Amino acid sequence: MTALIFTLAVLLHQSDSTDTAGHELNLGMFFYSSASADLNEGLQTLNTDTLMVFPDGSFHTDWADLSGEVSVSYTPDSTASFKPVSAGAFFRWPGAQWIGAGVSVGLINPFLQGLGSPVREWNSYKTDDSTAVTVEVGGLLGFQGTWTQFGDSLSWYSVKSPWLGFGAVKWNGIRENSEQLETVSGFLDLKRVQPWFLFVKENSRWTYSAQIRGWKPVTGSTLSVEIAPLVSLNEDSSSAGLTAWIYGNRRAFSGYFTAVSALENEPEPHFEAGLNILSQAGIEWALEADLDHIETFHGELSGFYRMSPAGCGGKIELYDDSLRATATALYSPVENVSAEFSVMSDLDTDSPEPGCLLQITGVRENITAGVSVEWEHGSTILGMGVSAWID
Amino acid sequence: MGTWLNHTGNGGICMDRLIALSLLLCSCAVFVPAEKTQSDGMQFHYPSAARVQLVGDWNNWGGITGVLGLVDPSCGIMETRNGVWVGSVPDDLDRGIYRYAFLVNGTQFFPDPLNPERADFGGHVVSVLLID
Repeated sequence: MTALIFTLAVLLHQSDSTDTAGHELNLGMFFYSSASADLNEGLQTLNTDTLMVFPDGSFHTDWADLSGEVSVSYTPDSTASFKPVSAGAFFRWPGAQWIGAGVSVGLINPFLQGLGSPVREWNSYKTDDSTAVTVEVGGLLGFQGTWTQFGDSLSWYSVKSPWLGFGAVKWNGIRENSEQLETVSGFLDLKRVQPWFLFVKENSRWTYSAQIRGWKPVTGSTLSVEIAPLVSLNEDSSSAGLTAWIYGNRRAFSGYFTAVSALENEPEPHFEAGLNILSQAGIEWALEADLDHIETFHGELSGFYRMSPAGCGGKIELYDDSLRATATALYSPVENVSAEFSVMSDLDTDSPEPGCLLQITGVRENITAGVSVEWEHGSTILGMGVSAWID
Repeated sequence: MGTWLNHTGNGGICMDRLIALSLLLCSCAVFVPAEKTQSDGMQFHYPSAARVQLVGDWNNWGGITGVLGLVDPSCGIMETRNGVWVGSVPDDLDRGIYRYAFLVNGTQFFPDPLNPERADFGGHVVSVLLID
């Protein structure tokens, strides 16, 4: 396996990158391999889980973007499979950058931003095997529109405004078969505060959310406090709350406090708070806690000294009645080599079963290698991985 | 040492004060926040890391085979300056709200400790960047 890695590393350095006037050609390759063994069964169980090579190339001009990446993977039974990871060809009208169209596979995945957490998370739709056709238009008063069709059942579209002088707005939509999700989002710049809004329409049902940003009642040389009220309304349930964020201006610390409650007969409040400090001694402290209306409590306290060449730290997590502790030792004998050993255990049981994890990572230019040993519940798993790339 | 502890005169008081002062100084260094390193971009203090990457919604979280898939180790690489890893977000991001995190040694996600605004990504606590 080592010989294979170095052979591939040499091959990688034979890749090419050219940049001439108006044209750019990039060729590269990425290699990844991992292996694992159950040490209780002996080292002879060491087997390659994954062996993948990703050659890729792209060509860019003022009027066209072409790119392609394939994967060649070998499974443990030594059968090779060849599959396109992504490919795309996009053409723009010469001289009009915002009129264009293209086709792609595996390059685009629908995603909808929200106020913090997204409305629709990445990978919510399976598009890997679907050819996507994209059309982009723009220029009319600065508005830009994009429409992408995946196969015959999924489409993703958006129209975004330019900066209007007092704010910006964006309309997004995803339609899959008969299900439709649309959002209208944006913000207004009222100088002292910026109201951000998000209207979500999911199958004819609207939810209206808004958050005031930029209100800083405390702005000093030591710290700033921003308070952001939030409200969310829909037909079935509504909620309101606020978050206070604390920023250290000269010192390395930050904190937050959030309180949210339903606007119903039963308020169902939820609280979250946290504090992070990087101390003068180099210790990073983190304290987090959250409590919801059914009095489910989660608390976490950690302190880590992550200096080089050696460091250590610990974390205590409390979930209602269960208590879990983790102790970690760090060692970095030379630059770009990192070793981390952790022992974790539940502390609230009569017979705690501690688990251990040892991870060693080394980086040398474009080559990364890692070894891990995980011991938990009587089983010991050895893992190894290596990756290399060239641009 | 016994003489010191049993001494009831001024020396004992001095010892108490010395211990108290030592504890105070020690606790200051341990708990008092350090001064921020001046930098235009994102920074993350992890001197013993072999590699730190700045990944987020703008770069598919480094996924070479899709988000949460195999991570491209060349994506969002941060540079180390005396143990502080420094990186930057792209200049041409649209206005909006983005999540991001520091990926240490290709295995562990950490939120930005200097940014208190948090969100979730794939079960990990990550940070939020607002561009207006």
